[in-house]
Amino acid sequence: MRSFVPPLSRMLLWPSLIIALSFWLKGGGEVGGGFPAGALAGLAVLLQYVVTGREQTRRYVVVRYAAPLAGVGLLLVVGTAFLPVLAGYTPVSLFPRPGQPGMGAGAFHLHTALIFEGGLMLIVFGLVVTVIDRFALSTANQGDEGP
Amino acid sequence: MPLWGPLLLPWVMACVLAFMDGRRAWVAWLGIASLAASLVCTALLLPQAWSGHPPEFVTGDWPVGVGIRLRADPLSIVYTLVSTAVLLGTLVYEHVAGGITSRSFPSLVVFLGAGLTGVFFTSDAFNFYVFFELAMTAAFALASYGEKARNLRAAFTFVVVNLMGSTLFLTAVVMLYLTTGTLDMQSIVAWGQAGAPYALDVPGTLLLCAFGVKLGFFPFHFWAPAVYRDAGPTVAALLAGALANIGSYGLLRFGADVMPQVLERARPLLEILGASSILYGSVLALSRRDTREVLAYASITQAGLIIAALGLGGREGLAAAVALALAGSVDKTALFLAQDRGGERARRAYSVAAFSTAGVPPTAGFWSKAWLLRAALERGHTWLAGLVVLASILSLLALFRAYQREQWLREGAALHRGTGAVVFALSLALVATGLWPEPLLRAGRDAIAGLGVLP
Repeated sequence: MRSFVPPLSRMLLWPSLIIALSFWLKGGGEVGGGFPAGALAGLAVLLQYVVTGREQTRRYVVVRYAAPLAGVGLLLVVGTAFLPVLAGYTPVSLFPRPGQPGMGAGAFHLHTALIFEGGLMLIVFGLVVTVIDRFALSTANQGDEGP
Repeated sequence: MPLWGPLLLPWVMACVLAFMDGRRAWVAWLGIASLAASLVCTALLLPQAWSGHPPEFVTGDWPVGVGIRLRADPLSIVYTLVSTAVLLGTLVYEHVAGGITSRSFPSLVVFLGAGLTGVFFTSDAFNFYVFFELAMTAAFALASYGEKARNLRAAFTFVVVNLMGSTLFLTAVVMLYLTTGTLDMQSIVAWGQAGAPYALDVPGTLLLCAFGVKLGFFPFHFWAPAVYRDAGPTVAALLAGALANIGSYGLLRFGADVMPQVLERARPLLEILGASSILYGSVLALSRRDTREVLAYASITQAGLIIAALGLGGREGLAAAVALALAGSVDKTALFLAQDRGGERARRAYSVAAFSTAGVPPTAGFWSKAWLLRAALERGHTWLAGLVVLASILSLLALFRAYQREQWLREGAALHRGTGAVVFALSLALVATGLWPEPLLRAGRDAIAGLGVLP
């Protein structure tokens, strides 16, 4: 008999990632932010690892390149924190400056805090997935060597 | 030098190093150069920090409370200098000792440096937690360095215990925010002076437990012997020499600076905890046969001395705590690195560091212990003074029993010129400070003088 869990978990992946993205985008003014977004996306991937195994999960590009993604996130965070210094502002200055006209529509505004949070999301996601992948790899190896 | 210099440099370099293969020699040297450069940047901040108006900025030019304040007073600077120097020495040692075996090692050490610098410079309780977690994450990854079964076991113990510590710390920060309505340390000081004297007792107790786990004093020491025994010698030196500084710094910053009323009420408790750590660490160090375990218990004694100094209170006691923490950090690094090798050079370095740990002149450890003794006698705590002397004798016995055993065991694997230079530099620093203690004493006194409110 086929279990309903694997198809269900696959169906859950994309909605979870979309909710994670929405967490990131609304983080500026409401509950959310980069950290919970990354953690949620990482948990969605963890579910895939548990249900379908390492091989199946690594078919997704984001999962294969999780560690470089964390590096990119790190560069985004450091960049938004310290690039304003080059222009003479204090670190972690917000652009567009408060009071200046911003870009965006409705409740959504584009500013450097969003990039910072996005970097944070990538770091958390990348680290969570890399750690899970390491564990999955070592348990898979132990399975091969086992009695 | 602007304040963001020593913060920016290790961050950027750690990010760059993360993309490179740390097993290559030039990448390791790049890591060493970044740590050396951030050491120089921090040293350039010295005159400003001592000028009465410590350098500070608020992120993004927001008003305080919205933006995060970063500030470098003398206490922050001396801790940053010593911790970065320890990291630098350890990274050089690991590289010249025969090559780094993991591609992420240099990057992680520089990340640890970035996290520690952030912890010491921040003036915001939650930002303290963020940098603290950055340093801890790097340390978690470092703890498994070597990737043998025993290293992984050490890493697992370390991660589980320290995650519990982090949870306690985060809970304390949340309670501070809910009680005082602010996370900025100086605003918390103002809130504490305004009234409600008992409101901060619970977060204060949680902070004591959280930093107790980091520093590893009795009864929060349980992880230390297992981790220091099973982690590699370099990693043990990093954890005991640099990372444990978060514990003593946190206690000084939150205790003496942010919540002096709570520290005042906690003094009897701190004295009891300090005295029991001193006794427990010294007696168990004597009973162990494995050198690393002896060192781990000696570090519990050291932590006990710091706590006892905090418990004494007053400027003299707190300044002694700073001196003990700084000298102890270099002692432990030198001991962990020297015990790994045999030969004449290693024996000499081990002896110097052991003398310093026990407080035999002319070493840095002697002056810090002498200061604690004087503070104890001035305050009429003769029993504590007796305990300090007893602990010194027991530490000396334990460390040299270990030395005797190791000396017969080790014939090969001597320190060569490179590793010898690192260990030699550390022991030279200890002796030089012993012969000319003025900088250490002044660092302790001025660091405490910069803390503002004290009885």
